[in-house]
Amino acid sequence: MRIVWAFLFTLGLALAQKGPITVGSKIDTEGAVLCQMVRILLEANGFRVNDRCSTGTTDVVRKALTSGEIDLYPEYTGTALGVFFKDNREAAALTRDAARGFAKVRELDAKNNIVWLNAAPANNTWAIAVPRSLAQQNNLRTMADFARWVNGGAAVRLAASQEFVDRDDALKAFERVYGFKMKPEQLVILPGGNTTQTQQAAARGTGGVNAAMAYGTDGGIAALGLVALTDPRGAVAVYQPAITVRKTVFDRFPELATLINPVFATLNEATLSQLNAEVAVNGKNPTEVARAYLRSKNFIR
Amino acid sequence: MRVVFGFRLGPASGLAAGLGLLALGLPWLELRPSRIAPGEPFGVWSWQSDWPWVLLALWLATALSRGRWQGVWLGATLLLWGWLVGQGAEALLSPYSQSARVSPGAGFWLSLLGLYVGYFAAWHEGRGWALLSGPLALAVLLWWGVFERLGPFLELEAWREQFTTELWRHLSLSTSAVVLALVLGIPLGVLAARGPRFSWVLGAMGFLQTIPSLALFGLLLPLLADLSQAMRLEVALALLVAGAAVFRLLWAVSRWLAVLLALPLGLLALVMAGVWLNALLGPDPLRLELRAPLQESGIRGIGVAPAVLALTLYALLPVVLNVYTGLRGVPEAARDAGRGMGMSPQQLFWRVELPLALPLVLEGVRGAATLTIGITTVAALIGAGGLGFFILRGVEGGAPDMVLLGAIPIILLALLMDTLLRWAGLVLRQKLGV
Repeated sequence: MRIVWAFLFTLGLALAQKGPITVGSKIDTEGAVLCQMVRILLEANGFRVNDRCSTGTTDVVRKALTSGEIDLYPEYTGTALGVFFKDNREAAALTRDAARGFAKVRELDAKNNIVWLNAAPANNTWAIAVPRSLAQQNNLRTMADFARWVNGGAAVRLAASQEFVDRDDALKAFERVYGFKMKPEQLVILPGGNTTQTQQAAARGTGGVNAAMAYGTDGGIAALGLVALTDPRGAVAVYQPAITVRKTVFDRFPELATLINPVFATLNEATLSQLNAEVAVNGKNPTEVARAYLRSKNFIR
Repeated sequence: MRVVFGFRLGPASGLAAGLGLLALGLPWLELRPSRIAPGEPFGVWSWQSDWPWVLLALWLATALSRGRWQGVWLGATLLLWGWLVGQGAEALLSPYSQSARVSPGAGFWLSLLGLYVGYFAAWHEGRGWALLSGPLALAVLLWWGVFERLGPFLELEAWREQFTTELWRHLSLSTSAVVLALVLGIPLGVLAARGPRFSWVLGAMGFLQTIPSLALFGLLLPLLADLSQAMRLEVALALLVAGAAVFRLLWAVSRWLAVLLALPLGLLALVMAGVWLNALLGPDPLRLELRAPLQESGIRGIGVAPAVLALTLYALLPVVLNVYTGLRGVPEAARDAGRGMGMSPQQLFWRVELPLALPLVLEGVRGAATLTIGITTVAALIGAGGLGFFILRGVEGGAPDMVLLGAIPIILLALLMDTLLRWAGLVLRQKLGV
């Protein structure tokens, strides 16, 4: 008899819960942290959530969203403009404009039945990082200093991914705006390279590498003894993280916006870097980092 | 066996001691200011000046002693090695903050390899109970907690809950794949052994083995995603039942048409069986929803479905090949004797051919199981989890300790599975008297 009651109780509990909502993310650190944040937040508000965090690479996770395998995941405005809508000339022109770029993405993706919630006020864009000692010696702080350094004939070797080198709004934009040109032999391309690998190469000086592709909110830059050079003239695309939701799911649960938007509004660059560092450098579990942050801001109890 | 200063030196125990002595000259531990920073190597002499000499003497003693003393010396070597590692981690970490890490280096692994070879040599000479010093010393070291300050253990602490889940997932994924590979592979192997008309079976298995897992996943993702949304569970089940009936009818008319029908339906059945078997064995609950698309029952383009399907296909080759070789190796004389006793083809297969082929079939199971535990690592690429999750995250995050958190258990599991099945095979062989 007790088993029957227990069963009915669980059934009642299951029926009282909303959902299920399946959450996903890219494999990187920030993806995992944001994904766990959303999962914990939704569960605390009575949703049943399937945890598919760290779903796969950008291709896989986007395909998973559009094919309905997952219901939502954090994506970047710059990726949407530069990758999903790369054939749209209007979109490509807006990659450096945070507000209009976001509005454009929202408008374009609505046709794919994808809803964009509000973006976080952070820019996880591309940057170039150099070892701190080298930066001090050569007085490097901004990309303009970097251009001066390269043009002065310094032995610069930059570790980067193929994408960073090929894309029109990444390295090429830096070169165009600040007026320098990297020779092919000065580039070390790591296939499928991510920023931890390029930064580790610069920190260790592997193969003479002394500069690395980096992201604005990377957690490991300081821990590896590097500094990211600033981009005062806004040369490269803006990458604001935001949750993308399937429209059918959003229409069923419009409260997703009122739950998630306030949290994302608090995630600025410094905060995201710190959360990423907790995971990447101190080796903490993304779930714990996300929960601790939500608690500290009183989003959950 | 050579004689050195009046001692007899076995080649394997000599190699073991050589590895151990070489390790004394190499860095044992690597100190990193944080888990992603580059490491600085430290040899054992940098934190202990006297005890390494004792270790050196112990290694010599393991090489030159015989019999039960060898087991005792090996146990002592293991204990001292572990204690020195623990001392080193303590000494190196003490001046640093919490984020500093100590990871095992070349000397650490080489010592471990030396111990493994040493115990292997001792086991080969058949000194039964003295070998218990190995597990005993290891248990003492773990109880002491000497490894607890090493990087992989710190990672384990941060991920303990997920580690248990992923380990369980890893085991359930590999087990489901091996079970399905046996169910599918044994009949295929029997078919292949029927004669040259069925030689395409082996070719097809070999071809499957050459498809890279990433390509396979890329192929399966849209296919399974479409299928899982378009087809409802009761439709799929009805299709399978009807398909089986039509197959029997078609087989009489045209075999090729029948195979053409059986392939897609067989794959569908394989995916469904794989997902549900995994759900029964694994940590994620089984859900069956009639009158809903297949994806509600766990068959999706990402996750378990493509992972188990790919792993099953990869595990087929060792099974099919060994069944084929085993049946081919049955002496014609044994078959003749069976026929002479008036056995029907069925009786001949079950009573003569299969028992004689069984040792090789078991070897195939062992090969498939060990291989599958290793390659289940790729399941993490398609979101099915497993210990590959830690390897992937570790490589992505540039944290070698996290890679080890995934890799070490996989190696241990594969070794354990290999040993268990090898032992089971030996017992079976003795029982059958072959």
